[in-house]
Amino acid sequence: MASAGSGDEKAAAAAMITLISSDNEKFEVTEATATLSQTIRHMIEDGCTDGGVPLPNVTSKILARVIEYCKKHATAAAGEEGSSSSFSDAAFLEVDRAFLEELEEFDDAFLEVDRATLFDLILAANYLDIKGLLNLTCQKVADSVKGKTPEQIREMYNIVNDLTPEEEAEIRRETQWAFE
Amino acid sequence: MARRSRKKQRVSSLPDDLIVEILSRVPYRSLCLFKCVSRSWLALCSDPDLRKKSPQTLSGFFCYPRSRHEDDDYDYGPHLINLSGRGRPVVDPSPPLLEGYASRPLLLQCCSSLLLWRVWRSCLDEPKYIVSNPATQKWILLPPTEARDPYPLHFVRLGFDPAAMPSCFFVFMFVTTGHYRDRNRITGVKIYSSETGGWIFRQSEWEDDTTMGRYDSKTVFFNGTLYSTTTDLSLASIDAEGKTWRKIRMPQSYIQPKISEDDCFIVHSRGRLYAMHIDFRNHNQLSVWALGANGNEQWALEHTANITQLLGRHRGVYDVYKLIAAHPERNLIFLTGWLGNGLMSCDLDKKEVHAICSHQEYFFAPCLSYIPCFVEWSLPLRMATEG
Repeated sequence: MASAGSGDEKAAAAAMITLISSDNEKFEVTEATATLSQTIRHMIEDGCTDGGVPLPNVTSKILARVIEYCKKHATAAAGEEGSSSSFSDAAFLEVDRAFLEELEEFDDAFLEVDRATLFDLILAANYLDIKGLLNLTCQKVADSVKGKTPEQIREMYNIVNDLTPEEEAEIRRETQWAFE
Repeated sequence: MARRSRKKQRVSSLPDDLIVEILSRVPYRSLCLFKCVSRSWLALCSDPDLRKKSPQTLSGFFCYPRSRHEDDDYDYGPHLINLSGRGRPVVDPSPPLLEGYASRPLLLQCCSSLLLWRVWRSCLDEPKYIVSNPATQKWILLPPTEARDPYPLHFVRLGFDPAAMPSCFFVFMFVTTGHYRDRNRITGVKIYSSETGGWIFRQSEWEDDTTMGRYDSKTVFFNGTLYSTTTDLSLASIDAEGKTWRKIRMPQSYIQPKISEDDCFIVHSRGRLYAMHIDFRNHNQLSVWALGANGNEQWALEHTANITQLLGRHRGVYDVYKLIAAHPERNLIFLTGWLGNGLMSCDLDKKEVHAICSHQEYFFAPCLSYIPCFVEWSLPLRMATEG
């Protein structure tokens, strides 16, 4: 089901893909890791990954982080498939739960980065089309802005308020309840 | 927040579609605040698609105000009281006006984001029902059911669960025997689905003597199932297709078999069904049970608290409290006191109590908790007109 459909299963599982960052650094990853990215999965399906996959929008620093995320989550995906098809007794569910907790801890630690890196990760997750990573990083930013006042948002992101005082007063009147 | 290096970090280094991706994970209240940030944020935050996606939570309570101007006959509908107790309400719940009807619609229930109203054309007619969404200002008049109920004061409840089915709602009309002696005995149910636009009828599969108080029975709807308290202190459930009928005892029935159905309180919060009870004979001891916490269909006592103590008061004769609601995501309950005490919130984790508004301004029966929902219905147009 989840295999990329290129030749025999064993060869596919062992196949390595080379990813090339914008600053020309090369990263060797397994196909299972790389295909967490829908963008790369399509390239593999189209058979245009020979000689490496150039990723001109992603720096080596960010790509290294993205690969770290994909490696962890690729093993998670493999684990889920294995347990659902063959075993489902309590011991295995227990192992699954422990693994999910570990994955959550990984995600939390993964997000301990400065804002610029977080935005770069969002851009990379969007460009590479990695749903889980996009969700994780966007949620992190959302959690950091909710509950903030407009002044705090401007401060956080160096945004210049280009609304006239009249316009701002009008918006505040309309949304008075939210300011309470 | 610690002020770090003043490096140029602008949110505009993300393209608009990614900012929207982030803002769609922010509560609606924050979206409204963020409109003031700048012109481009005003445009982003005003996007109606974004508003539909943004997660909503408890905003306030619908109550009828006590005072109104003598000459202002039109202002007697329910008001929304914000959680803070102050400020302009997020929505206006004005009842829909129907031509040719003898009465103004009467608010019966609020289920999450939708309101259920009863309206009479004349006192000889069977009443009709309106479901409205105050956030989108849309409403529909439900078509009449096929057979007349022998007792016209229908027992109706609304079912809407935006987390599971944001574009669909159900109305449950319980059919009773209609005999004077046991007119609250349930014999079946008519269920209206906004998806089909029609009613179905199902014979009751609860025990024969299941009765519910028309006004006392509390109901909760989630995951496609309506849960109602019954007179014999049970929790009766029925799914929206009318196929699965179940009944289990309420935990209150074990501690105090003599309490009335009116004292039963159920609520859906943090993905679970909770039963709560304030025992005014026992220093206003609050007990909170969760259903299915141990993975089975049983109640587990999860929390107890002494309300009198929490409020920092000595117990007086009239020191009686009534549960109104619980926060959908937090360990926070809302209650009213009998004398002089208005509507208040009580955070069970932090042990904090806050007054929301006084009973001099509002009647607290009904006091209906409200969560906005901006999802539009996809209903055939004729539904919105006279049926």
